[in-house]
Amino acid sequence: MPTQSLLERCRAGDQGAWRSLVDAYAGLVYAVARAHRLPADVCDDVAQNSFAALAANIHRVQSDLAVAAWLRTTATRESWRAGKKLRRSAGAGPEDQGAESAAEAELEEIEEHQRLRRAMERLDERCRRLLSALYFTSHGESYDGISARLGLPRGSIGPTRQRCLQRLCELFVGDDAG
Amino acid sequence: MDERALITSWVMGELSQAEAARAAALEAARPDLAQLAAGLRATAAALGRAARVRSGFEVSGEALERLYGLGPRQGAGARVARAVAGAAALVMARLRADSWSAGALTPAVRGEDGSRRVVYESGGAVIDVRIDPSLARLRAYECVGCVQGVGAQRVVWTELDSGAEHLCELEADGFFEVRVRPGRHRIDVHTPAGVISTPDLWHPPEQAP
Repeated sequence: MPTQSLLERCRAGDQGAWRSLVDAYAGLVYAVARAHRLPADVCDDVAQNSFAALAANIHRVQSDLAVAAWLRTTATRESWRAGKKLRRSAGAGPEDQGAESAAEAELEEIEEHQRLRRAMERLDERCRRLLSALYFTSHGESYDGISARLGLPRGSIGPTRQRCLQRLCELFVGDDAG
Repeated sequence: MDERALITSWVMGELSQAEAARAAALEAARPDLAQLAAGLRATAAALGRAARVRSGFEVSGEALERLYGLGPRQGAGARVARAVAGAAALVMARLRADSWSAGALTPAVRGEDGSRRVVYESGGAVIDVRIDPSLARLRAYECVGCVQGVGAQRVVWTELDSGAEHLCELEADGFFEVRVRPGRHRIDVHTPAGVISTPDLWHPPEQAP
């Protein structure tokens, strides 16, 4: 379902649409908070404040890309604020430059991963399942395991992966350009 | 193998030395294939990082449930939106304890039969609420709450399904009382620094989706 209509339904108070929006973007918001090395309960606060702010400002957000960017900016701002408060209460000084650069590098990876997820969502199911099995598991799965699980002949996995990777590349790079 | 497939196989490291040399020559000579190779390398690199980065995206079911309760609503949610638009800081309180879901190991919050105790916190503020079936009215609940750790100026209890708002009188020690109907509820505590708002609360709990 396009996010534009999801946003419209959220504005109209549709709780199902709001749940879908949360499902789509909660991971992004938590990843941003975690990149700032915040404790788990503070990450919860950052997520709650970010989504509460989105609910209050949802009439200003126009599109799927805008939702992701809006939440990323808000969660980053909330994380800075929470980190500053934590350091102040612990009597610590300002964050050192090394930690700040590490957080920024991690935020870039998060942004890249979000684009990758969007591109994956636009793949056909066969490609999505194959690439998820190959790359989205920390251990990686053997061709035999993938063949059995996805019902693909073992010999077709290589060519299918090649085709799927080309298609993913078009979507991933295209999203970057757009 | 066509040229695009050759470049793809090359980026994936699947070619013999002779085939790789041909792919390298193609990349150097053809801008369109050089662009494809660059895109494929970026995509493969992102996929290579996916498993590690993806773990940062994981969200527990409990955390999702809290976020589901924050959705905008026609009418009832407008007040909180106004508070935000009016530059009053809006902070969401976190659910610390709920006797309905508390297990046997947390008797302090379990409460008596038919009653429910819910505790929220935000920074140093604690919002502690007890909900009992009303003896005076069928299908109604008597709620007694206490706000501590913050200079609460007023408490607004909203029945979100109907949009009914109760402005609760605050006693000096932070206590307030209100009678509500079954459904979805939200408590807003107004302080000099802004509004502390609770995630939606379903009572009785079996009404929750």
